Amino acid sequence: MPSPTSSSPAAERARRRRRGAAVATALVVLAGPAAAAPCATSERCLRALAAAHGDTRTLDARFTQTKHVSLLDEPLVSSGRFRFRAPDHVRLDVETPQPATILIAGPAVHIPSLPEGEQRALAAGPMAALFSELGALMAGNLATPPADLRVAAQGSADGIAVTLTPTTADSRRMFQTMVLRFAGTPPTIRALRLDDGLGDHLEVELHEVRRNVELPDAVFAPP
Amino acid sequence: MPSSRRPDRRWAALALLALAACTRPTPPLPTAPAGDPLATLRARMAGMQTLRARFTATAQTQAGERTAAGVLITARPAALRLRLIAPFGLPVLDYVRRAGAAWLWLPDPGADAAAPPGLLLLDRLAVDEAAPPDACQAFLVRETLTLYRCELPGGARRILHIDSQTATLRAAEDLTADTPSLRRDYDDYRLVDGVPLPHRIRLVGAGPIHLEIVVDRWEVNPALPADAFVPAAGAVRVGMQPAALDPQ
Repeated sequence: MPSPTSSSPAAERARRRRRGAAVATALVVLAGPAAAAPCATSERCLRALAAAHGDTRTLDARFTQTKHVSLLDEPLVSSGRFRFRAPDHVRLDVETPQPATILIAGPAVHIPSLPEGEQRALAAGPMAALFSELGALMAGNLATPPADLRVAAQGSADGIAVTLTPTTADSRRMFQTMVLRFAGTPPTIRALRLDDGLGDHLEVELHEVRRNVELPDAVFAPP
Repeated sequence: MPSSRRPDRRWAALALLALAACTRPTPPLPTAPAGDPLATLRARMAGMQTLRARFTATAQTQAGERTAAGVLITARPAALRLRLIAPFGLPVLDYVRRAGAAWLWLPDPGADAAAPPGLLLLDRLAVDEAAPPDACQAFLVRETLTLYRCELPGGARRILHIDSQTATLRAAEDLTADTPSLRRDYDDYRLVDGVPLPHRIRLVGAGPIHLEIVVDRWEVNPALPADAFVPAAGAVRVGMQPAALDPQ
């Protein structure tokens, strides 16, 4: 007589299948619904960012930047504050370890304490062009990117990543690629990675990001 | 009331003690063996095959001040790489010297390659100051300081100030007939793996430029990447002296 706990091989296989299905169901329930990507194509992602940018008058954020230098075992870390006012005003303050400020108003780039001759040289160089675009790019204004940058965007569960690749040799000297990461609703800049022309890379994490706070003219005025 | 003030004094004393415990004075450098301080210094340098310094450089001119973070790596006999990074994280300059040739990379290809000579004077850091190719003669010997005069190629002279007790370089000055003298002061020596190395270096007299370098960290004989002295793509060949940086 078969024992009450014994069963035929077919019945045992069926029970295992049911148990496996139950475990799989439990795992899916525990994991919760998969986060959906906010956009399916590069074009749609850029449109989503452009729509968000339309509402962005100002951005104010703290940042931590980590510079990975191939010649060093440990990165250089600094922190500060980033402020943007549409359409093209940016103030970047590095606060630690060495204070430094850069003011951008359209094509004009001003670094207080830099000698006048070097200000002029800086304004004519590719670094100024990059900085003058930075504010708008970080605010999500990617509908009409600079002519010498190729733009591609990708959506994921974490948000939208936009990769900027220079198309000219002069710009590639400054950086090989720049990746901007946007997250939240509306999508707001959270991080930036820049691979520079020497093979080093810079990672910038933005936190305490606030949109549309009041930023008076004095913030962007040279001292 | 005296009784109520006693605890305050106790806390103040404790705070002072805590402060004293936190403030670690730089330990004195060991006394060098008796003999020629320059020979001792050179023997010590010969034990360092590679060096790496992480530093902050501040250049002051009449018009303003510039600050950059920097990395300097060197390898015997004469390889050197210097990279400067702006506070905003972008590279400012990359300079490589090896086997009698030097290359300079600037972010702007149209920039005048002679623009940053003040910072390129870092080329003369303590690494090879005391090892000019020609002989040096002591001309002033004191208990605390020994001065040497070294004849350099091209008729220039270098004066070395060496601490007689610790055999450490305190200053170096180049004298030529047609350019102003350039003095480098080496200060704040600390032991790194048993080797005294300067943590503050000042360059004075390079025209209107005053440059101060504060070294956060020296590493003695670090392992360096295989491509440590390969010039960056787009670097231009430059002269070996800061005064002659025109692309060749």
